[in-house]
Amino acid sequence: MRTHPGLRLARALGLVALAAAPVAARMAALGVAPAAAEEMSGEDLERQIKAAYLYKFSGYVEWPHAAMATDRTPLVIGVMGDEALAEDLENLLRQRAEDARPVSVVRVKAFEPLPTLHVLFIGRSESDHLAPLIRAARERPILVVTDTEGALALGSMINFDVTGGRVRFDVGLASAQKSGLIMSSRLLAVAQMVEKRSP
Amino acid sequence: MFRDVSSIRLKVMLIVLVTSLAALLFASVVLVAYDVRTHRESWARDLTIQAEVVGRTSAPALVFLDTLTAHQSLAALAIRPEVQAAAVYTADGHLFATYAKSNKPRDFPTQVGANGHRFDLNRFTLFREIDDTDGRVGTVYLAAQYDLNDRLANYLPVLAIIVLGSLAVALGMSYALQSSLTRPILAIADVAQQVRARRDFSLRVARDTNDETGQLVDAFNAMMAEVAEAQASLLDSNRRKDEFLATLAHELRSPLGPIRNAAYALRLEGEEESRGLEIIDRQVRHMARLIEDLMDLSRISRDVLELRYSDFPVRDLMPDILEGARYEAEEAGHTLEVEIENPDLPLSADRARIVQVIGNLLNNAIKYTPRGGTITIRVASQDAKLTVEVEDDGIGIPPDKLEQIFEPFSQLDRSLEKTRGGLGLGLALAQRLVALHGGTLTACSEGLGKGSTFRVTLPIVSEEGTEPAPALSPAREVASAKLRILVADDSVDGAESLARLLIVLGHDADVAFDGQQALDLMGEHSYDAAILDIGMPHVNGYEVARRVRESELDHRMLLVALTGWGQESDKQRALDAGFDRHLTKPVAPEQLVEALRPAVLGAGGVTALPPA
Repeated sequence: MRTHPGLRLARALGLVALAAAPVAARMAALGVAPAAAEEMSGEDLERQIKAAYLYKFSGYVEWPHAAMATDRTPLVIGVMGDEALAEDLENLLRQRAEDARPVSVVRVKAFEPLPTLHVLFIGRSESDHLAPLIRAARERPILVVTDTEGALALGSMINFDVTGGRVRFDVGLASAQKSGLIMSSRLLAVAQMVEKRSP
Repeated sequence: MFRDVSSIRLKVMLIVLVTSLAALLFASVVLVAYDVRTHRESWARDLTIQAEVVGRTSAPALVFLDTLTAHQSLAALAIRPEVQAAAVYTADGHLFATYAKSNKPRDFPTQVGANGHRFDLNRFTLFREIDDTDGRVGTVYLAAQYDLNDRLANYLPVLAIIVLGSLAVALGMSYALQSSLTRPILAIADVAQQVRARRDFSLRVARDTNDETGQLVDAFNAMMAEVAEAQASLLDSNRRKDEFLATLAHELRSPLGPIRNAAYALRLEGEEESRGLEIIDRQVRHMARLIEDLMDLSRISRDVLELRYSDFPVRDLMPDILEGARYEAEEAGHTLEVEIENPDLPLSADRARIVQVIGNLLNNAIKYTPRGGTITIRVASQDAKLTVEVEDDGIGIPPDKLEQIFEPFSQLDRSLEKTRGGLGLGLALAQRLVALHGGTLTACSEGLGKGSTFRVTLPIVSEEGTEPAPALSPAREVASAKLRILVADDSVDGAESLARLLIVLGHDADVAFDGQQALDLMGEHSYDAAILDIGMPHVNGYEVARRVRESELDHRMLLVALTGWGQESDKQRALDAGFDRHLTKPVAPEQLVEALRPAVLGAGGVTALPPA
């Protein structure tokens, strides 16, 4: 096993991306993924992983019934302040199986009224006024995911953290609970840190 | 298989034991096989579930690329000691996280296998796909040590307890229930044993079953009934034969007395030179001896023969023995030799019987030795035993006949019967008489033509130093005093021949032919003595004696009873009735003289009897 973090992440991405892909597509992707990873910069790779995680989080979070009637209810993920990530996410979702759960990606602008969302990602570009943005999102049962250090203290529910080339995340459990979201303990198990105190 | 087991009860129990054991072993093997299979399956299912759990807990770690958490999830398998190694693979087949039991090699397959498990001997391997909310995220691999021996070690003691317990129960039950099978058979065996031991054919086995053993019991009982019946009829016919022999001998003997008396009287009357009379006398003696033998044998077989023991020196035996055989020995031209080691050796025995035994042996030797032979009588003592050997150089006895010659009615060579004569009773009688004395009679012979030796061994009962009895009977005396004697016998010949003998001896004699007539005569005359037959019509001898003793007729008349029955009880009965003496037919003249001696002494002197 090679130890180069980039390559490792590339492979991990391939795994995540291809997990739900049809068999034929997956076969083709196997040959491409390592080669693509060689060309990809560390920043692109990191973003793609974050996009995949953003989608995967939904599997470990339970929304109130009003927001998510069944598990076939279309999931809406809002992306704010990171167009590249939104595109990555859309690419990823396209590779999913036909019968997979419907997911749509909505680009959200800061300080505009929020559409109906289940997940809201606030990119690093909005770090300066993160607090009001989070506060606004928390009025509804929305999983708030941020990419800024110290965001948990502002009420973010999941905050990415990259250390040593590895994409990890912290969980603000109390904040999620306040918004009526239930986080799976299995998600907490893989979180780097879980903040149980309310900010 | 159970041929050497001596008890049927044991046999039944063994059969039950072996049968139960076979059934139990079969059941055990099947049970163990079934258990091993189901246990392995459930064990495999258990581990599959374990793998599923591990997969589920490591699914988020796979999703979010968290190998640390995946390792921790796998490390939880340490609680399952049988799990040797485990691993989580990513969905595209790369090793993601591993676990290995300490001290086990970290050896993981490079290729992810299909969903499912397999056993290679004791090694169990399993691949299990990990599904999560969004489909398959990876695969769990698990390797474990399936220890069959552990399971068996747990299972076999329990099985052993079950088998042993069942055997014990089976044994107990068979012990309790076998009796229904074995009881009738054992009962038959028991009764058969008793029948053999006690010769009691009236024993029966109680039947209490209706199966084949019941039929066996019936058959056995029926057989016993037949045997009992056959034995009874055998005993009955044997008894009748004995009775017949006794009667026959008795009846044959009756005419002998008169003949003998008549011959004796004739001789005394001066016809000594008559050769015919000698022949009559000799033949009568011979016939009397044969009949005596027959009677004795009959007495022995009816167990009524009694021995009259007396103490006497060995020497006393010889004259009578030689007397009886002298004539025949001389006739045949034999030489008789007598060797007596210790003539004064005291002996306690029935003298007459011992004389009879040796006499028989001597007669036998004379008979079976060709003319001019030598016959030796050898008397010796050894170890408190007296041995008398009668040795001849005659025709001998083949070895295979040595036992047979002692059987009654057996003779060595039937073809010789006519020339040798005899009833074939002599040896049989001799052996029985010796046995009654507590001794033995054996024969030995080198073979045909080499002579034979008969050896009588008698215990010497008499103590050392016993005074030898005085030499018997200087009987050759005749009364000088003339007596008046009444003879009563319903046999006319018997009465008259006896009367004639008495007259020849110098007395007066009257005859009566029944008891009443005798009493009448006694009333008319005064007699010195009366010789009364017991078995007379109207008034028997006992009755006559009783009346004589009760009436005034009794002036110390000598009463002599004369019977064909010479048992001790007969004598006692005669004495009880009032007789002074008891004589058994046929009466020898010497005995008659002896019996009349008290009357003679009462009347006057005694003179010697002329030689017979």
